[in-house]
Amino acid sequence: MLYGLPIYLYLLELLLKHFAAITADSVVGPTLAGAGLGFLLPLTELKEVSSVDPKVLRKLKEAKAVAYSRRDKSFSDFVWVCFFCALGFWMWCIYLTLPVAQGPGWNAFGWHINESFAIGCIMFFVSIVLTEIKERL
Amino acid sequence: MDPLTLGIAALAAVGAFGAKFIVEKAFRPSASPKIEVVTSDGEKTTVEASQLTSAKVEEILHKSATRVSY
Repeated sequence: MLYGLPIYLYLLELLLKHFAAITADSVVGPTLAGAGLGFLLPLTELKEVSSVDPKVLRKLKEAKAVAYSRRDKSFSDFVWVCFFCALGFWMWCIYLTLPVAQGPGWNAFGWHINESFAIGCIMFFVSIVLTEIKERL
Repeated sequence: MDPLTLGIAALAAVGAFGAKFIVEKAFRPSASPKIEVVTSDGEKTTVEASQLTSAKVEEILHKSATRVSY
């Protein structure tokens, strides 16, 4: 269900525009980019180590010590970098929807590509992949 | 409706779904991952998860307490 978000948002926006009889630039791109950012932020938190005896973990907690997987720590650091890059892409997405940014745009096979939407989709895809990786660390 | 935009949306959705399966195959959790223990004085100790026993924790905490007392 979650993976279909780009399609649902696009179709919902089409419906809204149709019923409201308006022609406006698509805002699905920044919305998807925002969703991608929303997925990334929780990934920066370190997971509780599950492969260690809970009694041992409790003992560490009592001594105000923390234990985490090294892989998880490296991944979380990488996600922080991705998060700040994504923040920049999200801002670019918003900029592309503004009238000042309207230019010739990107074209493929004679069709005009909605740049903002394409960037939003890529961000959404990358954040889903990172979420799946985090679940398996 | 712009078919190309809809195509990109479908590609992102199908791609995300496909990526889930690829990640499932590619990333297998380690049986005994390396665990980093950080004590209250900021000292880091790396041990394998299977070796992180109560005795090992006692040893790490004792070392930390000794450092703090110095």
